[in-house]
Amino acid sequence: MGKGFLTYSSAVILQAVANGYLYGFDIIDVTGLPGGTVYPALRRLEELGYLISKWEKHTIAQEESRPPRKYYELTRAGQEVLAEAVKRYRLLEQNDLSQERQPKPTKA
Amino acid sequence: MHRLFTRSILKPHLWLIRFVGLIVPRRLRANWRQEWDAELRHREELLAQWGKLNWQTKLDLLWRSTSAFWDALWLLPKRWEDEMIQDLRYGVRMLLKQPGFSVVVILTLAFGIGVNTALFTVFNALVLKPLPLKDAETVVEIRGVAEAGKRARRFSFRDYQDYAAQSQTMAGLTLMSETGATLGVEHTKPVAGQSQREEFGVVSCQLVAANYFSLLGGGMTLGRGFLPEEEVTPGTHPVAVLSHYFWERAFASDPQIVGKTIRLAGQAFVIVGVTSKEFIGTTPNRPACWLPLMMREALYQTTSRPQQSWHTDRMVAGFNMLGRLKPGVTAVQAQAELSQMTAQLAREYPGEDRIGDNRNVAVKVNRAPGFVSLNDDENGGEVFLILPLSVALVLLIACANVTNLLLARAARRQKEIATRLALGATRWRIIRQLLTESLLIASAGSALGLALAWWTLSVLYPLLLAQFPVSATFRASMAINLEPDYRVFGFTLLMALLSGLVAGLAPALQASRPNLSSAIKDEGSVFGQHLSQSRLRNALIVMQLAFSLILLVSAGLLARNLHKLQNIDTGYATARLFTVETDLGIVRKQQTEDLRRQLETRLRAQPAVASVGRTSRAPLSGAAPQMTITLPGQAEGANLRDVSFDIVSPTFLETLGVPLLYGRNFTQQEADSGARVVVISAAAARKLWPQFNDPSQAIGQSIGVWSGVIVDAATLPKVEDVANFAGYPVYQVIGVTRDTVSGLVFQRDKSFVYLPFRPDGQGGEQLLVRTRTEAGQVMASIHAEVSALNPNATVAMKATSEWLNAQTMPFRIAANLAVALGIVSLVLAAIGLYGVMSFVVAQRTREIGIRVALGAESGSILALFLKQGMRLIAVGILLGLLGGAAVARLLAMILVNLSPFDPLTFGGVSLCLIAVALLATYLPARRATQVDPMIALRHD
Repeated sequence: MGKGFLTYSSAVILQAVANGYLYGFDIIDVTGLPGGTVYPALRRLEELGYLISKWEKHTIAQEESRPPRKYYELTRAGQEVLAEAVKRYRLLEQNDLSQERQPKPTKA
Repeated sequence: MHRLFTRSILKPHLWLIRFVGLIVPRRLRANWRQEWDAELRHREELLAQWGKLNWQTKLDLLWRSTSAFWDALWLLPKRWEDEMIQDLRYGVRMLLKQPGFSVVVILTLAFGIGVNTALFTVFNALVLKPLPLKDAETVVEIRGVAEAGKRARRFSFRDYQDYAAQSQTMAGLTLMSETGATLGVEHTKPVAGQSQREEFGVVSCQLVAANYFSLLGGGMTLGRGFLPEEEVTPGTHPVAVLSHYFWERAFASDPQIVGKTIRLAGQAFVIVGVTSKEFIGTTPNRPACWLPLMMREALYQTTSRPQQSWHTDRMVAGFNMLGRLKPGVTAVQAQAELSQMTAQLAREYPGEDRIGDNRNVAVKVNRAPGFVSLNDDENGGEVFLILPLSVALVLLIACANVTNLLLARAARRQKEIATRLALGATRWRIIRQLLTESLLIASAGSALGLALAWWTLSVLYPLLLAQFPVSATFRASMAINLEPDYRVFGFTLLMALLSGLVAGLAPALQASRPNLSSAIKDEGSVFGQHLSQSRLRNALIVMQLAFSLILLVSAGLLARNLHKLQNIDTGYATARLFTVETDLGIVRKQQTEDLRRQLETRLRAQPAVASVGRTSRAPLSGAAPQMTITLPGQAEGANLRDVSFDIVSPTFLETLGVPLLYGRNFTQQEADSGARVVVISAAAARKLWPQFNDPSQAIGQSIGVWSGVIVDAATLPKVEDVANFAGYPVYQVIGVTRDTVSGLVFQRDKSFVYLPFRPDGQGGEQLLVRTRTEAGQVMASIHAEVSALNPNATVAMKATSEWLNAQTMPFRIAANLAVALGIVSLVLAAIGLYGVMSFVVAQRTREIGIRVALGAESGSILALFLKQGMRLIAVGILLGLLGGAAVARLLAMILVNLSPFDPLTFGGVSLCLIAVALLATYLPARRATQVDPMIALRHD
């Protein structure tokens, strides 16, 4: 897959991440894409450098006695290809996804 | 952590993640699991916060966690950087580094796995592969289940009708039974490529219910299958459907065949259809044709219960039943329903047959059945276990060999392994590396083994089959599909895994715990160090020798047995003897009898014919029928004995060439008048009157005889009487003959009763002809003779020597197979012993050098190693003889005139093994005597 070209589903996923849906499940819920598509797509987008993943701080997880979570974030390159993709796939603009969602406040 | 664990027990989605994680590359696994874990827990918490955590959302969660599988799958290619792949790459390099070693171990395993795969392929084709039918997955086979201690019966026509009418689980049921029929003379015109002989014969037919083709999805090349109206009144619709192969062979694919007639057992059948090439029926030997059930009487009559017939009597249960499940119905549901109906039928129509078997109490329903079902509880089945056991032994020997070779190689690699350990590799890592190597060897071996099995079966099998005295028609009719399928591949894979582990585990465990300092200094093997390692290797050699001896003992016994069988004294000459069967159909009984008499007269007139007799069955054509005999004057029901019998003409014994020892033969007048006189064999005299010193004392004795085929329906005792052993017709013994072998060749019981054949009764269907010259010429003339007498007749004939050949065929196959396996095992064991002794010699080079330097003679060095080898051989042979005796007990059943503990066999094969083993020891030992002490001591 060459740089700058995104499949529609990849673009939708990027869009979801950009709008603050940071987990795989959130993305599945909001995009309606099947899990078998979303996860491999997240990994691929990460490999292409459009997304980076960050582990939650250990201390937070420990306080809530649960394993630390992994968040996905858009990189600069990711923002660029998303912008291009939005031009190409007009539909994205009318999508529910374009409504910004506030990231959940984390106990930093 | 503990709290987490106890909580997660109740969360199947978390367990799923853990499980799926196993396929994620190791270095990514922890991260991967954590991400999924966190996400699932987070979602769960959210659901709990929203108050929506119920079983439905939990199920949804579980469903969502299955996408982890796709995620993990996507990560799979990253495995290439994994340790496993490193191990594999390293393993391949090691194999390539020592190509000689690799070739030997791979070939060894290939052979072991090859013979197992070949056997499994045949087993698969006969037992496991579903019948080649349309939608075979919904086809079920229904078998009767008897009360404990009774034999299961097949199905009667009336019961079948009830099952078919009432079942809610089956889309349909169909009935069939296998039979044979003599073929009409007008259809036995020579066809190009056919030998003269195979045209005259019995063809196999199947009697089937009208819905057989439609239910099983049998397509037609020409014409149609059977119609429902052809299954109403017995004997009214003489129609036949030809199989594709028979149509090709016997009718040269005549496109106008439909509407023509074919004569079977003297009855003309109108051909209504030819099946498609794909439809070969439900038996491993394709039938030549299918006939409607209602034509059963045209082929044979139910004689033992003449008042009733198969289509009204529920106790005449001679049919197999297949069915097709309704969509969505499981075999278990069908079994429950049909079993209930079976129990109900048994209550409504109770009954018992002559041998005291009741009606079935339940049924077993097998989905997607193969040609052969394994739950046939026939006696003597354990004999057939010997073959899989033998081939498994060959694989074990091969594994032991590979283990030994790997041990030797591991010993040579001690320095390398010690270095890796010293540099910080864990023991588990080393074991994994070594196991990967042995699994690699096993995989290559099994791939080659699969190819070997495939080659053997596709190339060698037809060549082997061509050696046997079966007709080309029979060969062509064998339709088992030996193509490997997923089961065969799975089996081979399993073999590879097993043999890789079995062969590689011990060397890996041994090699991964070397004495670091001594190994690195390369002084591993001076003066008896690594005792345990050599002990293991010795044990393996002993095992190999023992296994090899077991196989050799079986091979020896089977070969000696075959030799005895081929030179068996049947009591008469089998050369220049043959039987002719001719028929005009059961309805024309008298005409058929006239035809036989005319043929008999015509044959007698031929100068080449020495003698003609009549008999109820061809000598050596298989197990002779048996009947129950009671001795008058003894308590009713006591001392019942079963003896074989034939119904013969007065000229039969003369034609066969069996002399009378005492008394006289019956005359034609006696036979015609129905006098109750019999001639018995000496063995029968001994069996019936063990108290007599001499068989001649049997003359004048009376015997009570019961068999449905020998008495007229009118005088047949009632079933109730038979159950009480009363009403047996009494016959007087007038002659005693020499013993003969005329049933199964390996049958030990030679008790035989010859009953006079009466022209009005049954029996005497076969003409036994003894010729002065080669039988072939007379046989060739029979066709014209019968044609001249009646062109509508059917003819089948067979030379007695052919029957004998056919009977010894399984023994020939078994003996050849056993000898081949025995030789392979011997070679493998010899290679193993040679390898170990060579290794021992190489390891002890320095010691030998010291001994020689101190003045040891070459003779004493030789003796040193020979003694060591001989100790192993002695223990191996001792254990092998014990194991061989155990196998011999299993084989005893099929040995003829040969003790299972035949000293000649046991002694012979032991000597053979000793000779080969000593040679395998001597060669390396001699090398030891050639050690130059100067070089040996300088050896690093």
